[in-house]
Amino acid sequence: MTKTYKQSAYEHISSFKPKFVQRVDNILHHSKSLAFSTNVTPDTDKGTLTTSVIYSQGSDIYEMQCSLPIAGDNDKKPKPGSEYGDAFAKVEKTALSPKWVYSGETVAKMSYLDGNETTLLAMSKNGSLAWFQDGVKVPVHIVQEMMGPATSYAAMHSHVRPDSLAVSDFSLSLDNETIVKSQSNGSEEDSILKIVDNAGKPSEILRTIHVPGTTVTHTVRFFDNHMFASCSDDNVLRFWDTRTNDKPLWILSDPQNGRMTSFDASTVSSDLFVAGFSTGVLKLWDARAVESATQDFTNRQNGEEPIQKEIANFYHSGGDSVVDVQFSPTSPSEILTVGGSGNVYHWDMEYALSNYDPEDTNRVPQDASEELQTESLRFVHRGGSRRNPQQHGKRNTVAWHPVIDDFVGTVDEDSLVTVYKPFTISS
Amino acid sequence: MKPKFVSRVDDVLHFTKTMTFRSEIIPDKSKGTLSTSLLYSQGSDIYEIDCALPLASFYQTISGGSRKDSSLAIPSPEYGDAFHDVEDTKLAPKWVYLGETIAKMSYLESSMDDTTIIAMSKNGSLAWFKDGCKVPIHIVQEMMGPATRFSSIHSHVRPNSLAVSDFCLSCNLETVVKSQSSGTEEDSILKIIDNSGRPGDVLRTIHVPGTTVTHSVRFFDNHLFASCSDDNVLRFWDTRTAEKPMWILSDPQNGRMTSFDTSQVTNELFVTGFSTGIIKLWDVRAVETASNDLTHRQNGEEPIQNELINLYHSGGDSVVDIQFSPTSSSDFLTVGGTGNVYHWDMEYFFSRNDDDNEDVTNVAPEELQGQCLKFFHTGGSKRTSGLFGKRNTVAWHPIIDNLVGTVDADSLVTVYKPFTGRDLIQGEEK
Repeated sequence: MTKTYKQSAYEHISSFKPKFVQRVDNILHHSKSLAFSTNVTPDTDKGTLTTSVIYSQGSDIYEMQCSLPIAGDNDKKPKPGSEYGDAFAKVEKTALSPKWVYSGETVAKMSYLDGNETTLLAMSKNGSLAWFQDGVKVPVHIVQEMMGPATSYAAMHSHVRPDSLAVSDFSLSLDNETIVKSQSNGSEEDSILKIVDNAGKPSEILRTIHVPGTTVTHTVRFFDNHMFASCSDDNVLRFWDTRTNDKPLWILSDPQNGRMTSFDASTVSSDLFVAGFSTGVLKLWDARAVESATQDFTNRQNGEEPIQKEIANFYHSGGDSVVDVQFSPTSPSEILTVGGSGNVYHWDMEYALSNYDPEDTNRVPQDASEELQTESLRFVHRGGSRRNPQQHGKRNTVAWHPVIDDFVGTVDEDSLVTVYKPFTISS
Repeated sequence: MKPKFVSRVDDVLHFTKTMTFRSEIIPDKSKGTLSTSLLYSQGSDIYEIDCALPLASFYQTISGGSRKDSSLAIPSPEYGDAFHDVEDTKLAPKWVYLGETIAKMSYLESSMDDTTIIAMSKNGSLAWFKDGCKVPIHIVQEMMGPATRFSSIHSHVRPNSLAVSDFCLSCNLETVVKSQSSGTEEDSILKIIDNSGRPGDVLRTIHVPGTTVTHSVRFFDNHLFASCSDDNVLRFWDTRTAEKPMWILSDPQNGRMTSFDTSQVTNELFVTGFSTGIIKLWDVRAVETASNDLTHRQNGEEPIQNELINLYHSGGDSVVDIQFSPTSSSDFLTVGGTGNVYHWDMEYFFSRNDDDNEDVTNVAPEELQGQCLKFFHTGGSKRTSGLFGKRNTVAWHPIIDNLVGTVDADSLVTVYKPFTGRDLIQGEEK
């Protein structure tokens, strides 16, 4: 099934600015991040589907109900809606009080855990992790990272570049049993990965791996239950297995397109991954091909670098840098990217993948041609007139819904929460 | 049954034999039988043997007393004809691991990548087989021979005691851990091997210092496993941690620790068997807590790790193999050095002791022994007295409750399901 999108038409869009019980002095000062819960409750009487948005602001985490019309059912065809919907009608009037609080920390990323005793995993700006449970406002487990003027992390508190060093990330394995987190080690030229248990003894640190020669490892992502990759500021992707020694399995170095700023692995196919660059370039790769290229010495007997070719190249028009990239959790070929401008780009890689033959070792990467670009870029969410031009795109402010197809949530700097579903025509 | 073979076998006693079950079962209502198959290895050949059991043996346990009238098992003194269909046919090997002697097999149910079984050879090599392909599709080859540094294994001094290896699969079947001697004295190795993305990929090699042979490795869940070495120490590891055990359990007092198994049903219980015939049941949580509890040992004493229960083989029959039931959390079987198979049921013990009351001394050892030893399989008159029990020659069926298969040194394959008085009592109560 191919999907065609009409530019900037939404099947559904709703947004609102939450009100809070506590006084918030200046909402612009707090960092915000967004995630969805996996709970979906259909209500056939009203024709709505209810889910919830998890929204963090500073150290507070809020859960907000949102209900959207069930479309695409029966013979009711989805229509492009020109007006803003009322998904947040229920919570719009009420003042919200935080469901969970991670005192003294600024939440930078959240991940919803289904099924387990713990409901939510949150990471703070300094790399600490906290596990939350329904009905308990404070964390039930934590992995605390010491950062302050007296610790070895003092460099992060320098006024020279506090934000660029305090970059951390985490990822859960597909079975949710293992967590990998990355953080700067405070000193220059050393960043660390920690493997943390999430099954038998949650929050137990199993192993610490040093990534030499890198100051910041900004992204880690799992491919399956064991294999993961880390993306550092030396523009090198390192591939690891949680069970191996402290050495990467293989690496992928790509220094030519500016800083590698973002990276994501597909959880649906477990082979595909994308990397985004500060120049706006976006590359799609096949992990199997990258791995076999590292072992192929046919054309490089003299110690040359391996020839690791991507599947295809894309770009953000106008050189809009790529600050975040996320595979759809429900489709193997759909990706969204967040530009430095705050725009959200929706891509469908089906066209590129249909021209890709993993067996062909002599293939040429598909260049960012006009045709490839129009076939693949399906939708751009600009936030309309509500978004001011000073807006900057940030990581972890855009999230796919884990269950509902094509449903995306974003949060802006001024606390405006938007959920939308692009309008598609199935041809 | 003694299987017949297509290929000529010069002396069946010379070959090492092992067996395991496949987990597929096909009930046939019209004949009233349940078909399953067992895998039998002899030297480098692996055979699949079909066997059909009377249906009652399965459904009675599932449906309890609901079919009380007909299905209540009556102790049958006669040998059944489970192998009736294959008794007269000559068997051809289904898989062959050329040049190796198979020492252990493990069935992979409906796994990824279509592999059906993993077999380990005597020198520690692993081979993956799949249905329809006679040779291995992946192998992890260990070099052993006069020219390698493993040549000490081929020495005539003690070839068998060094060539001991074992492997175990994690609960989700994605990781394999195997143990082997590294050839030199005082060093044995564990290898962590992938079984999901790239089967056969050796991910990590861990040295176990101070041990010559690590004879058993077992997983508790997807990550936690323990290795049992000839220094009578159990070491607990996580596949994801660095090369140091998380905690250890040392038990030097009851002779050599010869066997070890973990419960796949509870993930917490494990048993150890000793050359003196002693069997100990442990709780892994309690062992771990004790290793972190420094209350009574401020001066660097060893941790006080107490077992839950102590049992023994009568007559000092050494414990050569021990296996938890894959279907019940309280049943396990042990194989004695005489070849006898002992069935144990811990239910009596568990019903008397909950987690809060770990004091077991209030039960007389004889009473406990009597209540827990449920069944005793001696192989009857068919077994010669010169036989010795061996590892991996006895297997539980992974699905059918209480069905056990054994293979003797003279290639006699036996499957049985014990009839215990307790079943009868429970049946009458209903």
